[in-house]
Amino acid sequence: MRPMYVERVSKPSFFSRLDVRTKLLFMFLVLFLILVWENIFYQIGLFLVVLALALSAHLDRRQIQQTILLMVPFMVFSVLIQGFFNIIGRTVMITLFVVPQWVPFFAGPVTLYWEGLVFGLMVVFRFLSPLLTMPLVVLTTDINDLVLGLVKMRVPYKVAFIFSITLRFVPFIFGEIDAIMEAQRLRGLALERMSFFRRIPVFASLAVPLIIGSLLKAQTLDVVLQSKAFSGSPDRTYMTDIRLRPIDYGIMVGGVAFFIGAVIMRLFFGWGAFIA
Amino acid sequence: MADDIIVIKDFSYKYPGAQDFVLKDLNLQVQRGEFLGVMGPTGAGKTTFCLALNGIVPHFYGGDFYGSVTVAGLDTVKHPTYQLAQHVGMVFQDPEIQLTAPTVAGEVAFALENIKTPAGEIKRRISEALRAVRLEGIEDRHPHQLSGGQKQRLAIAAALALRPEVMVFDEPTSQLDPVGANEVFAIVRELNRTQGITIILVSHASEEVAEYADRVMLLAGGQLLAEAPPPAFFQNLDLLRPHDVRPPEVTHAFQAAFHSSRHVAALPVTLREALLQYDSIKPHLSFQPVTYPDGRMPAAPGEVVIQTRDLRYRYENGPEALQGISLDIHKGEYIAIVGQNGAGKSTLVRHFLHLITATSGQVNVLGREVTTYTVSELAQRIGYISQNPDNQIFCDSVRREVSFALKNLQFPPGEIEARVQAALQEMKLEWAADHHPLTLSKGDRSRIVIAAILAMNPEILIFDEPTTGQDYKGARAILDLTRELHQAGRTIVIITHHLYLLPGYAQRLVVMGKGQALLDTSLREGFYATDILHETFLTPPQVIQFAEAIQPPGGPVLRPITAEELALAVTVR
Repeated sequence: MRPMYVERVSKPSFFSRLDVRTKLLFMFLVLFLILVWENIFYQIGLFLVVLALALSAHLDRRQIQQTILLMVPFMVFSVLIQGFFNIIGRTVMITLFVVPQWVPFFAGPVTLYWEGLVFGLMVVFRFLSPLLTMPLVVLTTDINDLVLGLVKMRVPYKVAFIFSITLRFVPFIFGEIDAIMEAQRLRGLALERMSFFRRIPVFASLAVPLIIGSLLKAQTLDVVLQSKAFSGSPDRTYMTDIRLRPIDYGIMVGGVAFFIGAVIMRLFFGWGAFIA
Repeated sequence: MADDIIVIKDFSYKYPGAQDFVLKDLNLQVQRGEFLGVMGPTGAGKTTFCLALNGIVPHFYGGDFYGSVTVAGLDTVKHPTYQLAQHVGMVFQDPEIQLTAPTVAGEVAFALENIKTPAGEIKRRISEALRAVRLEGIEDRHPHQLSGGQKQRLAIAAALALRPEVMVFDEPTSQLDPVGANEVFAIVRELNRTQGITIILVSHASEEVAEYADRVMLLAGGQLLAEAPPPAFFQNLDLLRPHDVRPPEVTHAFQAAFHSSRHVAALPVTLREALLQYDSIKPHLSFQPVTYPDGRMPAAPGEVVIQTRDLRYRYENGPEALQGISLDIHKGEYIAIVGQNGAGKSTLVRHFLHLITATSGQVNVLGREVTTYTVSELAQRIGYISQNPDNQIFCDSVRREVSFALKNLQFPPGEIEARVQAALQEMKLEWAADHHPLTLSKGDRSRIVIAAILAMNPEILIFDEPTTGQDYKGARAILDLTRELHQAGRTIVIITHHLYLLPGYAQRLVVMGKGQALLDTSLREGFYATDILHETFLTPPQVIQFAEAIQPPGGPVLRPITAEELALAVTVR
């Protein structure tokens, strides 16, 4: 397992210079837009916009590629499932075989339909857009700004602090997991040769030293925080300052307007409805 | 006195629910700008003492607090921790847990944010603090990317940012390699000398304490048993030894070799003092040649059990961690592999266990290529005990832990029973067989892990940094254990950077630096290869430095590696 710490993008770009609140709003708008539309061209369009932003923000191309490739099994699965079983199917592409009449519920031809295929493909893009938006937002934002952004959006400071502490210790925890798994290998646990079901109790046994080690460390963490004058109180200052600039207001207002417009057009004029 | 920044009067403290007082009737004054060393055995109350200086004791823990502790004019009972924290900065032992923010700058800013410092001032203090610890330029790095020494320096910067008058260090270097430890000591000393910060340093590093402290105090059983400037403090060997405080090596050496001379007024506590004193007693000494018992490698070493030939290893998209290591380890040997963090010691040893595969070169174990074994097969021949015992304990009883591996390897139940019994006996853990491992002390948890590995009956044992983080007594106990295991016929490989602990245990020394084996020779020859040791920032034990400095021209060659051996070579007239 690789530690889940990924390098932040260091080169500034138009997107990275936006306020973190603008970026978070953008992320939410993308999440909602994918649900408003069922038209594959609209979804592809949205994805291309996100992709263009990601590339302009200097996100690592190889990582983008890897993220997309990771989705390939899901893509195939989605396309096939929708293709075979979505009831909107009309146009027959191929018929695989026919289930005999005496089988309850499933009797009849098993056919791949064009409309289902298209729908399945559309669903794929529904996932790809937010999947790419998340690293786009997180990797182009300074962590301290991210925490401050959350606080300014009325997230309680204690929650924002937990977020910050998690970001701090996640790589360390993954390192501990590696060490524990290695120690288990050295005691004869050959995970590679175990069936999936036999692996489950093994992963559970990993939890014991991990959790106990973490709890022990957490006790010291408490004392450490106290020594740094921490009280959990939101009555504090922040080393960074984030300010909404005119461009941020512009984008936020424009984004919300676009979203409202998209919903209206969909409801009253059917823009973005499914076509095959 | 007017210039006392810390005043402790009749201070006693008991944790809530505890039977005994952890600190008893302490009386102490510390002057502004002083450097106070605090020494004592584990469990003496040193950490509690530190926590009493910024109010965590008693505000955070509760408990029973008697007497008074006043720091920078503030009574610690009457003022909350967040106020005291502005006068007392604290640096703890574990480099990992004391960094709480995801960026370097964020870490330094954290305490300042908590006390509501305005943003502009925070920025100024961040640069100031990072400059003081020589960590400028890496403000955006995640702590995960820093070395141990850098992490501790960052912790110091974070404490410094509050501009405290006092800084308390609780064993700040015990988890660090020599380079990291040196960095930290250099900064601590600078903070004291240039910025006049009062320093309270808890440490087992006697040589450094003797060098830098103005005064040293002995805390044992919760009581202040002695406090004096280092020269006086370290004289009293009869007081220090029963409390597991190790005097500086050079003090011990002087005492062993020259105690009978009436020309020795007082034992020196630093190398410099030792050499000065030596000049005055030199005329009264004569040297004789000594045949050291293990001066040469054994003439007919046993069969080769582990062999590497031009072993190279490169991390994916990374540097070359091992640059061609060729090594033969023989049956029954006791080898120490030493070097800084990052020298490749653990990487090398991982190849023996087939946990990683060489990029090029050969690794053979017991006559076969290591790649022909599975990790499980190798684990039954080579036992590996890593530094943190808690990452190697998976079961809820000692007995189950010791049988864990055997069950995985599908040994028959009768055999499992027999082996578990034997392992428990060897580690003297029969009394704990049905206890939960976590109810045992850290030292005993290490023994549980060793027992669990011994149950597989490996003939080779590798200990990865077993003495790091231990006090002197704990380190000796572990090393004594390795000696027992060695004398029972096993091959022992120990990875460490505590050179001074090795005499009496390891016979052979392999020095690694930047992926190469810089030296591979007997312990004695290795210790005296001072140039190579310096190249890789390893300091030979003080006895060696002393012996090299006093080498009588034309006289017998001095090659002692312990104080006792030095004594053998010298007669006092």
